[in-house]
Amino acid sequence: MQVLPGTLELLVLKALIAGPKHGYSIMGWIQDSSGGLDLEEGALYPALHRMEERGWVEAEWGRSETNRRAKFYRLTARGRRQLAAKTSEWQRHVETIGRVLRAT
Amino acid sequence: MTRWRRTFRVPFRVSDIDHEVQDELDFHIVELITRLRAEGMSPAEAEREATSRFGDLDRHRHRVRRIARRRFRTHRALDSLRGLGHDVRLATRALLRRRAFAGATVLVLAIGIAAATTVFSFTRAVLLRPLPYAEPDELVRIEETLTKDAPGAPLHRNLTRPDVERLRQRTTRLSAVAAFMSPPIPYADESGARRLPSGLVDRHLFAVFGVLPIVGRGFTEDDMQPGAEPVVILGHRLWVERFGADPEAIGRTLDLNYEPHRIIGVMPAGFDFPHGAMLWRPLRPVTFTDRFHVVQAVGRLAPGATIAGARAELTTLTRGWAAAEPELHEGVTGARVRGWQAQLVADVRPALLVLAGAVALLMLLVCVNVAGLLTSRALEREREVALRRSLGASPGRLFRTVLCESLLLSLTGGCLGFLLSRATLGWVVALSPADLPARDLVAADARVAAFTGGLALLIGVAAGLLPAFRSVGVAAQTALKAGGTGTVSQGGSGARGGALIAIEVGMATLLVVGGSLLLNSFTRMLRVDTGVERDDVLTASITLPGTYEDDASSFEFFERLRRGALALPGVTDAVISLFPPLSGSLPIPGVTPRGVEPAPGDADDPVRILSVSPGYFRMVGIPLAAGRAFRASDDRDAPRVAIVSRTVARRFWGDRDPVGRWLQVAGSVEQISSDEDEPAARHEGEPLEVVGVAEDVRQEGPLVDPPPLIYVPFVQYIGWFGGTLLLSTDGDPATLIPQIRDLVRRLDPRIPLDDVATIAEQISGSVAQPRFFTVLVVSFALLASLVAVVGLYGILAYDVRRRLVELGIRAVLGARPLDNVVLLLRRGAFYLSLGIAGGVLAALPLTGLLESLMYGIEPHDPATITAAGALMLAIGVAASLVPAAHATRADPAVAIRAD
Repeated sequence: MQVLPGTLELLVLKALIAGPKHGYSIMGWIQDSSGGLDLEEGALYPALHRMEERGWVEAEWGRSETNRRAKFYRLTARGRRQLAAKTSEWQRHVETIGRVLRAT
Repeated sequence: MTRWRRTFRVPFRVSDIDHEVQDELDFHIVELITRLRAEGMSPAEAEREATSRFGDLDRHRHRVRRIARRRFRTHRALDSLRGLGHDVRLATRALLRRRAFAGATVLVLAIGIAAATTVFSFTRAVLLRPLPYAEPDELVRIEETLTKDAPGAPLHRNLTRPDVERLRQRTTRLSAVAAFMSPPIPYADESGARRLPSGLVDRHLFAVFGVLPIVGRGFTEDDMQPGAEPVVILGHRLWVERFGADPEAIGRTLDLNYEPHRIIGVMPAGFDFPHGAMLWRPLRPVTFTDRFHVVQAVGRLAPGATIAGARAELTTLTRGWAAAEPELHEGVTGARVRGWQAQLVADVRPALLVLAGAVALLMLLVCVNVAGLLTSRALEREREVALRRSLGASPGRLFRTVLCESLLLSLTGGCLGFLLSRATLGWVVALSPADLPARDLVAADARVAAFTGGLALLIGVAAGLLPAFRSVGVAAQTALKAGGTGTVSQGGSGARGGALIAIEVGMATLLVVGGSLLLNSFTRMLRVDTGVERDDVLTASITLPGTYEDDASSFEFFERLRRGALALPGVTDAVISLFPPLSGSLPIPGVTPRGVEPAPGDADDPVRILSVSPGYFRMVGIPLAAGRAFRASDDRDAPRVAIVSRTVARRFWGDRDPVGRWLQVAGSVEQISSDEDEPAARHEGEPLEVVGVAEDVRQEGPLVDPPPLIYVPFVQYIGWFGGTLLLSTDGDPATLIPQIRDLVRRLDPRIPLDDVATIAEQISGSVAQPRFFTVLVVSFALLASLVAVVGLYGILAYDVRRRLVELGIRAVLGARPLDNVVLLLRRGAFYLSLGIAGGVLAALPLTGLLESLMYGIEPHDPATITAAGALMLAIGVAASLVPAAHATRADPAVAIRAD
């Protein structure tokens, strides 16, 4: 299954809700919890940096579980608000499309 | 959060950002390969798989870099803004903590900047503003130059009308040349009579300026013929005010110079050459314009021609006709050509330049002063600075903080200074001489504000640089090693403070010397003995229309005027004279004493004549040395009599008594009208009996030596073109002015009453220019002393604080309090004297610049210069006493603890 345009950011925000993660583990979380998405992993990084620019996430260099230098991202307050807004927007979207599709 | 941000701010350059992006992406790929290997893939397989899952690495990296770089740049910009805001807040807080210091500095700056702003407002309006005509740089004034042989004769003079005519025909360096005069002309309408500035011009004048009438026509050759119909071209303002800008005004008539003139044209708005002219009439050839050098010439340089080139050509031409007509051009050596703007301001230029120089010096002093204050502050703060440095503040940041403080001070001072200058400008303009060119245009406008702003910035940077560098230097030594106990950098700063004292005092001394010289010169002008003892006499000059041609009607008018004035309440006496006291007389070249050979050289300084009615000497207070005053019986039918001034008596008869001797008037009297009328020749050949000797009077002006003067009875010698009513009153003379105007209007409504003023007001008007410049330079000198005193005080006070320990120790060792005071005073006095000596030495070559502004005193007057130096010394010592007195309180215990 492919990721709909614009939804990657929502997935990243959701991935970070549990705590700071680096890019590789964000990607791992998304794939694990979705049961396998067809996603170019590199596409995650422009999205992360754009979100950082908008102030949804903050980043800090640290050590990975494998003891390598890695850049960790974490949600800001603004990111949390964004997650809430995007989630409900997404649900309304799905319900609307669903109603249309269910209509006879 | 702050920690988070700081970690984040580690990258300094864009290339750091690129590396970070690379590291981040590399990490992902390495992790991916590691996992795939752990799942059992071969290294090659794992790498291929990872690359494929990651997608187009180059494209992703490129996009990430673009975003990261953009974010970095935005951050950096915001950061430096935040840093600046931080610096300003820091500086403001620091200055608010030291209110006395900040207040004194801002005050010094505001005063200095206000002075500079005011002088700039004047300089800009008078010297820098271009004339409101097309290509003003091409306009030149042309004069004749004369030999220097005749002492007292002018070196340059105007031309005759035919001279200008010939010049126009032959010149190649000038594209146009015009002749003109600018008499104020009597003008009458329903509201009464007055004089308007006018131009009497040839038909080429408008071409020189490239302007044409907007309505009607310009002057033609026919208009220039003698005896042609009187015509006039209106200025735009007069056209609007009198005719409501009605084009039908053409062909109507205007009463000018007591006769109707037909209106033939209207000039465009803004054209007012010469000298604010409101109307123009044709300059017709009459004896006055063709035989006397009374016509001004204005020309426009031809394309590519220079002033020097035009001068060379016109000199050749002028010499040519001087040789052809030697009797009209005696002593002519060539031509002088000057830019019109330059000659317009030539009189005030030296004075304004002196002012600009004085204010520049004042500004420099202010700069040094503020730098000094900031430096001593920077020294006090050395520990704070060192602390900040050790806490990681970068040198750039420290530099910026100090500069910020200095700029904050200078900009605040600049704002205050501009407001101060603006608030006082009206007063200064009122003080300035009325004949200052472009005086009405002096204003504190946007350009002046820009100048002030620029000046404040410049001062802020100039004064801040030294202390800013110093604070960086201090930080570099990491002065914290002084262990939080010692005053840092004990040595060296004393000598630097001393040098500052010397420099400041020196500059102030220079200004005080200049100010004292001008003040001394000005008081001499005021104290000059004019020879006239009464200065509260009211004078009213009257010019008569040509209809009062014969002596009888002219005399009758003045008799009626005199009797009418005498009847006014408050008037105690009324007399008539040709000119007001101290305001000129007529030269009569051919006066000789009967039976005595004229001495050679008398012709250079011809005897002058003034006609006065009985009572004149008593009213204005001119004592008679011998003989009698005029009386009513010296009338038209009585024998001709004269009273000679002491100078004339000495010249003609030496020690012998002149009373009862006779004067012969050989030639005619040149009575020259300012207009096109012919000069009259009267009173020829009749002998005059000398009946009295009057003390000398500065009749040609308060600052001109008394001329050789002969008085004659007004009734025996009537100035047919006018006279002056003199009144003594028992109240305030000014209250009589409306009644006098009324009286003149009743006698003849056509007559404009020009100048009504007391003798004191006349004298005051004649010294208006020196008064203006003296007041300004003296104020600058006072300000400079004030600034220097503030600086001196600040430096010495700092010195005392810095040496409290030393003084305390000396006290412990048995020094009496007075010894400490003497110690400090001696040091201050040394640098003070050094400064004063330097200032005086610098003044000696510079005071020569003041020569043209000075009267009755040498520019190197030793007494004045010595007094100025002594004054500075007194001020300096007084300013040192206060901080030195503080040293007496150097209680050993307190002093040592103070550190």
